[in-house]
Amino acid sequence: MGLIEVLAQWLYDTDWATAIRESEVVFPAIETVHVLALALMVGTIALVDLRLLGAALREAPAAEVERRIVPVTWAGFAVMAVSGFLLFASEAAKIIHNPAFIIKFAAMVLAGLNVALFHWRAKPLLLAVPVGGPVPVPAQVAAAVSLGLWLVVIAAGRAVAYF
Amino acid sequence: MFHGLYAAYAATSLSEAVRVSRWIFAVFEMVHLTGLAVLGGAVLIASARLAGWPLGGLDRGAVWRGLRWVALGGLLAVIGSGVVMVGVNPLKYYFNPSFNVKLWLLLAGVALGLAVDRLVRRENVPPIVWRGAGLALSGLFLAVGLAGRAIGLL
Repeated sequence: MGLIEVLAQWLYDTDWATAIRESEVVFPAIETVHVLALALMVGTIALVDLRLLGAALREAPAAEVERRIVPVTWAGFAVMAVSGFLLFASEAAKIIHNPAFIIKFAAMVLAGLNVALFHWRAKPLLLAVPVGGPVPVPAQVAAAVSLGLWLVVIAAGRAVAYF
Repeated sequence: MFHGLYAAYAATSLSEAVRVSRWIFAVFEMVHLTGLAVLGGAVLIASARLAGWPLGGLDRGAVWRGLRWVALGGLLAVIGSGVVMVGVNPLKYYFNPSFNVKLWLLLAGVALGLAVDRLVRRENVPPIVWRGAGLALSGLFLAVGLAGRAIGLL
């Protein structure tokens, strides 16, 4: 048994993870919070991505849209991460072998790397653009990659139940 | 009132296909959730701007115009995928209280959205009307999401 399996089994066996798993109320309640937080997070980051791609909020400067909406996205991410961890812990020993979960997790890691790349390379270019100027290509690429990866996260997340 | 409609849907080949396939329901469930996320994000930001949250100095009308097509795209994805998903057992959905509440809340949300679409073209609308519309719109769509989650639990 590898380290990941040992950690997953330990999480799965904790009292609180067992309580979540065995409750008829707590698991669905956390799942509801998780889905709503996912919708908040993906819905708001999708708006930023669509603005960078020129498909939404075209009358607003792209940098301003990013500056105002991304904090809401982070709030959604925080709730999604905490609720997701609780759901993961309650099924940890089983779910780590679920191919849909592995794809979801990999897509989230890639989305995180994409955010880091955006802040490192594309955002300085975006901030240098005068109001009304075109969105730099690296920012558009990051937006398209972000949209694609979050679609994968949603699709794989739903598919977890089918494997 | 709509019992016959649901019963007729249950007899269609689409409903049968959703019932026997392992993947049709799952795929449309993914589309449904994606549409809900897009719709929810657009409604939240538009509602927040209506209620007074500044967004890059843009007026309410500009934010509404910039988001309504995104919201409409999400809404069409939610409704289209939802119709297919109901096909798995139309009469079960017909008798599910959460599903019926969700439909009425969605209808109310769409009606309010259409009213706001007319309101943003007007001038001299009192701030309290904007705040009320923003709060009601976000509240209605949050309730749609909660009722949707409750469908499988009741």
